[in-house]
Amino acid sequence: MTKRIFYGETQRAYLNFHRVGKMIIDAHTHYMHFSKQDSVSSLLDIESKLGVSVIFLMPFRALFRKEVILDNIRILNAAKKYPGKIIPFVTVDPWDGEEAVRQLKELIALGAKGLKLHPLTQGLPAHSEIYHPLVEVAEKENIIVQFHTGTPVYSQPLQVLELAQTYTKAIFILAHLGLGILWYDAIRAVKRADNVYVDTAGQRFIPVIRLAVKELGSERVIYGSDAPFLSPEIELKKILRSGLPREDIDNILYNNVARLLNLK
Amino acid sequence: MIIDFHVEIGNNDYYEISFNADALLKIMDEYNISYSIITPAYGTPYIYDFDKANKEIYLMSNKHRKLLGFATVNPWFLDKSLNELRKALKDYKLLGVKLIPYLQGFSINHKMVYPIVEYLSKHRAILYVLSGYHPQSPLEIADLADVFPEVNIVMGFAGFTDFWMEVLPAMRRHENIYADISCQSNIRAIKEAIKELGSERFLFASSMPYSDIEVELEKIKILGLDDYDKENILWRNAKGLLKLP
Repeated sequence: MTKRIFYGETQRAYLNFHRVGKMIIDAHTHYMHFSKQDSVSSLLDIESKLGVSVIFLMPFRALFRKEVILDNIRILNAAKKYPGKIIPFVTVDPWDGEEAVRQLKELIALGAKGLKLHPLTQGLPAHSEIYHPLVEVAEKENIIVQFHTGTPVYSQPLQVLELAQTYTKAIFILAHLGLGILWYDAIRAVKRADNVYVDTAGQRFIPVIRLAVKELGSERVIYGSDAPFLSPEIELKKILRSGLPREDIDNILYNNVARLLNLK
Repeated sequence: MIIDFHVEIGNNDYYEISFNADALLKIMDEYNISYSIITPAYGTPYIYDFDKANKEIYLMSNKHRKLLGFATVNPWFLDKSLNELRKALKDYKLLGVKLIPYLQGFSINHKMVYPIVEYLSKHRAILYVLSGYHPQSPLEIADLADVFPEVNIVMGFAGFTDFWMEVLPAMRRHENIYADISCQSNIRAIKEAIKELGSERFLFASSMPYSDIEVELEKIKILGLDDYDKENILWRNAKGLLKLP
């Protein structure tokens, strides 16, 4: 019989990170512009009120293969405008073939630190060979690859594992911890490859975050919010109310990404 | 006042977590929750052990006036599930039935579910279904709601993750569908749905121990509703649906 956590007592240890002054990195945000409110400056304001000092900023429209260049340039410009606060992630349209590879190299030369891939919106399975040349560039240029995961049929964690076992020097982050029905696959993928991490953005079940830490240790679980698509207030509270020990929460909220970025 | 529309009590071996009535009652006191709907924990109660689980829910709800029980049965057991349903509603006075099609092994709109829903219809009891991916997507639930327009159906988790996109179409065509907004983090989508449909069919739930009371209350805060809509979601709609005094 597995040991169960008892809900109700552990949650009382609600940690207030403003008070203790620990740093937080949000490894999953998007440049979205439904309204003025969603601009980068208001995103940074909200994040800063929550104690978040650095964000991974990713495209949104470009993930739907629209305004690819423009969206990426906005991200790179935002990173220049707010130095030290934004880690810029870019994407390209994988269907553009050699042109996509050329664009990615150029974006990296301009300062991109990560490659965001979204198999669901980009319309191909994560382990498709069409993605290979892009992942090869990311591995060679030493930038992080973050994959959307959790939505069948294209964004399955074990499909990303296939890539991770081929490109063993690249660092992969499985966004959303596999979401509602593929969270166990996400945990298995991390277990089977040292170069795979998970982020917690939009993972609805707190027990799943706890289980990931129990199975994997807290060193490869990373906090992300998916803001402003989702609410960073809620996403952060899930971690703070998880009842996990302080050291694990520090790893999830800051240490793991700090370590990854120093490697870069 | 707050009515919490969904809590699971018991040992959950799949997610390795457990929760009990004493801990729930403590939290209810602390957060001013007047009533909580308690249901069996994810696992064997939904598969084959429903008679034992329903009895436990009955004993807890019978002991504590603030705990309102929902039963579960598995339609695969045919007559046994109808007998159990009769006992749960008539003898135990439980207020509804909760199904998790994904765990129990059927599509929510499959005709094998009909006898259960017919019985609920006769006794004006509520059907609570966790929603999300197939076989329990909001439009699959809506297909069942179309066959039984007289039965009130609550979609737990309001589509869960990506299936928030089916919540609005499901509720737009079917007045008998309600949604509990726990574990649905897309606040923008919930806000838009409330704007279009009004707040009368949305329900607050903590879904402990999957989610957390503070997380779910924070969501209500972020929704930024006026007092009337907020009260609708926090308790008024649930009070009407459950026919509480």
